[in-house]
Amino acid sequence: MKLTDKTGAKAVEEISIVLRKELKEWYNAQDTRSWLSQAFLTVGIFGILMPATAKGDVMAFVAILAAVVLPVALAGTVISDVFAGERERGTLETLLATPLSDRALFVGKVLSRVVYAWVGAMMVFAAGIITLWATKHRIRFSTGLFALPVLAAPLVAFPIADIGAIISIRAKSVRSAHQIISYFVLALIIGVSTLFVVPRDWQNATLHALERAPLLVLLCLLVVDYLCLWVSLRTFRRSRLILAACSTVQTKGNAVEFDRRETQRREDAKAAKKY
Amino acid sequence: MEAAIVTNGLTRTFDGLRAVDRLDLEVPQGIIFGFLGPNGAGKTTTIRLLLGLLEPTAGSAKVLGFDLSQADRIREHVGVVLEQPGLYTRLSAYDNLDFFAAAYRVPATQRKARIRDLLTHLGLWERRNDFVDTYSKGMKQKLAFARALLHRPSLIFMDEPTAGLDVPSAAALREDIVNLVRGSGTTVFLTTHNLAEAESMCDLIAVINKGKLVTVDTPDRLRTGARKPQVRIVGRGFSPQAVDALRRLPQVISVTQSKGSLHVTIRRGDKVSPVVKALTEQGAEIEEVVHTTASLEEAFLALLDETDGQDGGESRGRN
Repeated sequence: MKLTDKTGAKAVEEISIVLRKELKEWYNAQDTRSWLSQAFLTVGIFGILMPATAKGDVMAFVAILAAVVLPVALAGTVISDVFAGERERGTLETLLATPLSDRALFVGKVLSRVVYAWVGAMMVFAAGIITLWATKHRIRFSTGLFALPVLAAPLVAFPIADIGAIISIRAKSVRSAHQIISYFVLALIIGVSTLFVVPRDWQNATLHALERAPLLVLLCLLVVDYLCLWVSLRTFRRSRLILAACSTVQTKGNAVEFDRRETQRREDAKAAKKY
Repeated sequence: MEAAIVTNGLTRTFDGLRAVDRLDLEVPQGIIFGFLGPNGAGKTTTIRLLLGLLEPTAGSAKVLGFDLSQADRIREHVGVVLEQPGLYTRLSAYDNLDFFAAAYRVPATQRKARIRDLLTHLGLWERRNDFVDTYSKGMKQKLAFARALLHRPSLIFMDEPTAGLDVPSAAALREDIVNLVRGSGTTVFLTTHNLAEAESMCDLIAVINKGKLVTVDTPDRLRTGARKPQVRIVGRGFSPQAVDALRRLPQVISVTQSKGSLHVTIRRGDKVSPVVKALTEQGAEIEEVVHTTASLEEAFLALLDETDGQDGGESRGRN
């Protein structure tokens, strides 16, 4: 990506312009009933039902759910629309014609999905703790267990949203983007789930190691996020988005179709003239 | 005064297919510049190149004095109205304009006033808080026009802005565009398939076909240059002898006859009086002599036919 000479403040302002628009548009897209049913289902299943019925280190289970599983699942669910949706709704070209930088467009859109995933994960985390308290499970108050979900959730959601945005740029439609992203999400969730099928000793050892070194975990996630963003910004191009909207095959097709129609139209005009 | 747009050999190739082929164009400031061509001629690709949304394969261009490599500067100073309004249907009209005003760096202190002025002027202020998906196509296109004006650009690209609009909506939008240019000196780069629209609005018209520039001229000169002068003579007594006498005149190219009238094509620069004289000498009674000129549509089709002939029927230039 060609880096512009914009100051950091200007870049942040541009990102916030895109972020605000995305969140507002996304919020308006659903009515109150739809919002409530989504929140009720997510919190009900992941924040109440699963913690209430879980066994073993239930506190760690809730923390992993909020820090990893939900950010991945929620970000993966909503990211497919980010560029492919703009293209389908016919708003992409006008957006690209604005002076907003490539960086602002990409980061603003990715962050909007990260915010969604984070809010969802935190709602479930809060509901999970309340459920544990209500069902008289033992709640361990360790910094790691409380800080990791809050701070790690957005950092875990970011790479998924980032990769999903790149897929959304290249995909022909929202549906095809969604299908590809689903495989990534599924693979990650299966990867995390293996933690719950390994022997109890290994499980405890891993959880305690993560719990004891939250800063190291966050630092690793930050590095991964930075690398993902760096690669994405280097590959993100306005022209690529435009070309994806009008592929070479389509352009050729248009030219052939144009020739056919034009020949027909002129023959009709000549016939009408003679008549 | 520097031209608003200058292109030199601007070329864009898609996988060997030349969508825009060595385009040399100069668009003066403060006019409505029509850019006409059939579907697939390269109009939209040209606009995308000039907006810096696509990179040229060859050639160069300057838009408002900025080179295409300064695409972000170009985008700061131009407005766009495309065939699709490009509005966020899940935002209100006001929120749409507020977002684009921020994107185009309109100072926060001026945003409200500018949005109010534009929406009031275009008759949309009362519905500013309605979601855009409740708007008619005409209202959406008006709103898109308002969006293009928010940052007071020096140049506006309009890609078939009235396509799909009903007659009153299209007429209202055309009037707004013309008023804008006459009032503020903004340059408009307009592509359209509506030749009557181009004829009534544009100061200069360029015709592009298969990626190549065919001609640039005023609408009047395009029409008059399209075919030889023709007169329609209405009257009685146009006998075969009278028609033969006309055909023998050196200034007459062709004569066709239809109910009570003759259509006579004469050589450019010649007068009609010898034609009238020859007819009256043959006993014809003449009631009316009308000079007819080609419509812009005829001129446009003639230009396309000429270029197709030059290309020898090949569908598109290839590298």
